[in-house]
Amino acid sequence: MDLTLTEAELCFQRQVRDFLAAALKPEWRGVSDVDNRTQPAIMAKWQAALAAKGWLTAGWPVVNGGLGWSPMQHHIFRQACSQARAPKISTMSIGMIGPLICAFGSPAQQEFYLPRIITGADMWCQGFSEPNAGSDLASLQTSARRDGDDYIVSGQKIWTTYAHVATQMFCLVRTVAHAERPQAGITMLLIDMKLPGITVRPIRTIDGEHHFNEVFFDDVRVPTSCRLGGEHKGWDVARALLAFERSGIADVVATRQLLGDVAVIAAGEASGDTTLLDRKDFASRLTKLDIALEALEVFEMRVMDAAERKASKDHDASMLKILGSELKQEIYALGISALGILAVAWPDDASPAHPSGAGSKLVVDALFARASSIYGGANEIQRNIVAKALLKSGFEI
Amino acid sequence: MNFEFSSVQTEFRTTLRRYFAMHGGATVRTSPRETARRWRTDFWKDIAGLGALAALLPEAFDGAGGDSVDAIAIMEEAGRAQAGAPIIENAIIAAGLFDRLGSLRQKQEFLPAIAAGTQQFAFADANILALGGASPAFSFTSLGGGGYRVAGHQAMIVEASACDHLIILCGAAEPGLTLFHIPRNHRSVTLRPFWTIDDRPAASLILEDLVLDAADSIGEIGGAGAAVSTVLDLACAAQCGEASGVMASLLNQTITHLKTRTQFGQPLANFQALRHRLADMYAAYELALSLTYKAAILGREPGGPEHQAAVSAAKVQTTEAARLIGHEAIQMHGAIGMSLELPVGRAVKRLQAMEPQFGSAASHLRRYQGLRRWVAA
Repeated sequence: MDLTLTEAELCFQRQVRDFLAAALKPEWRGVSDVDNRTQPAIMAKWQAALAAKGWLTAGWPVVNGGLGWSPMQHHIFRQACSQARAPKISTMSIGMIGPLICAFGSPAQQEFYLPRIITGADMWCQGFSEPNAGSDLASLQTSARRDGDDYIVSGQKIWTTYAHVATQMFCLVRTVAHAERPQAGITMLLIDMKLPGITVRPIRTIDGEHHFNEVFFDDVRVPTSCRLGGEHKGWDVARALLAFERSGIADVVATRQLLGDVAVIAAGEASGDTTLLDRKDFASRLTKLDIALEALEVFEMRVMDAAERKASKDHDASMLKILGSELKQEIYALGISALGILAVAWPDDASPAHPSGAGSKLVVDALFARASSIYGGANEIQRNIVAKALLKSGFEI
Repeated sequence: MNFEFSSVQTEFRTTLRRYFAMHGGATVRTSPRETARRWRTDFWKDIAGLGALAALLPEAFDGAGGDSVDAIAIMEEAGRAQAGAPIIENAIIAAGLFDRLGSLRQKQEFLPAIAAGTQQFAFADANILALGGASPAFSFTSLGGGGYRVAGHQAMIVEASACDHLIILCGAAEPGLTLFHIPRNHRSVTLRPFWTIDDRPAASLILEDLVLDAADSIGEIGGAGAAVSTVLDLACAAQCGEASGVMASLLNQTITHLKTRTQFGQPLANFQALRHRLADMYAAYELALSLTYKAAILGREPGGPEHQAAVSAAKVQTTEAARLIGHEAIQMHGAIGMSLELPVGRAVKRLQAMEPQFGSAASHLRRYQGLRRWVAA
């Protein structure tokens, strides 16, 4: 047991940091998820810089432009990017559909789609959730019926992040109306968002922003050449996503930065000679969260180390997702209480600034952070996965 | 970066696991106090024979030179089997103090004896951190001519009624913290023995008119502070490792119960309310274990602020996890979880007894807070 990086890992870390120092423009730093959605141009520029270095697709199979990095190298890379406050890269384009096309796409599909992902010509969104298929994804009803060389798609997707800026959607559709198992009648289609019959409508969320959309399909003709994997095999394709690299899922570096922001707010909240940070009750809440975050940081390292030794557990990703999202939410809640009465103001140019200079955005970010325990498989589903694994294989130390 | 135990450590764990399982409270149903007596007599000789005590002692004195990670490996196994042996008190605290501060003569006399399991120690008192800088319960005054008068009273000393020797931490404004060791049966030692909730021998200790000389001290007069603090941190981390083992055992017992107990015509494991709580118990376990491993790794270079912070973090997180897992294990067992017969209750009592030892979670939280710099100056 040891906590140190090997010489080679340290060397790699220096390479990554040097690259970030040179290539990451100051005005790109601190670009948030919200900014990515409202002004995707910066994310595109950052992705182009990574692509030029060959690092954008590091996690893809080597034959498709991947670099064969070890889990620890991916971890080091993501950590360094987070520490430099680099914009997030598109999870859906780079982390999800790219690797899926590498694994399931025909040569023609790979030749067409992969370069467009790398150059940023395409930006992808994920068409999974429907009004009546959330956690119970397999009950989805958007239908695709064969008509010659086309599928005719009709139905509705919802909570579709990025649909308003995306050029392509990877979409689960029903190709068998009454399959024996609902999972058996699902197909994955790669749908050009400019096709006639697609309507995208914004859904404003409680933070006032436009993250999500409804997407309506009104007899949209999608060529069968846009099917990814076999007909009725879409569930297997989607399941493969679960096996992809999960470093970064707990977002611990960003959460560490958030904890620092909360401390800054508390230090600026003066009352007489002391600040909120000096108050015992507040400081002990902050300290407990600091310790819990440190625990999560080490747990994430243990997960990476297990992946390095090919000893990952199936539920590691679920654990990271549960712990990462819920801890971040707790820290946001502490941030809200640190802001005190100012947290009541809707943050815009007219609202009063906090003396620390930080914080006004925290109010709305905290609101959107409620989504993190819902998207990507609600935490209830993640707990089901963890419990199922424990009950099936028991528990070993 | 590596969180795996070495093959030697894993092999040793397997050996200990086999032995502990034969006599540990997780399986054995004989009287817990009779079992406790044997953990200090014949079982104690056995685990000394297996090398579990020597493992943590310096090589120069019949030890194997193991470090804080070896200590965690051993204590996780002890916890898992609920083997109530005083390994921490002897192989970590007493041996650690003699090794750091003792004279050559003391090392020669006591370290091989600890390794062989022929001498046992208790330490008074292990909760110095909880005092938040206040003086220890025992104090001493110089009588001149190399003599010292030691006096004081401490209500709760684990192992004090079962050991051969007491190590007493004494305070004095000048020259500072000092360690003395005395035989338990010394005529100026008054012990009022009792049992702990987790079936360990303990006693109140009263020292009156105890006169010692410099040869009875461990290390320089006034020079014990740093070593005591370091050794108690190593003990604290090792006990977090033991707690992790106990928690793992409780998780396993709970999983088995959920799968076998049937109500409403189906196993309890089918109920989502229980499944989710099981997932939360497991998450708490993994978080605590993570910080315990970190404290163990940093314990190879102990005593600095990084090690102190890591130990305090481990204690805080472990205490929180132990409460959740202990209480949920009883609740999810239902009424049977209340039974004195069942290992579940014993495990919960073991965890509860650990809480205030080597500094409470609250005192460790304060120390951790003091070691953090939240906002750049």
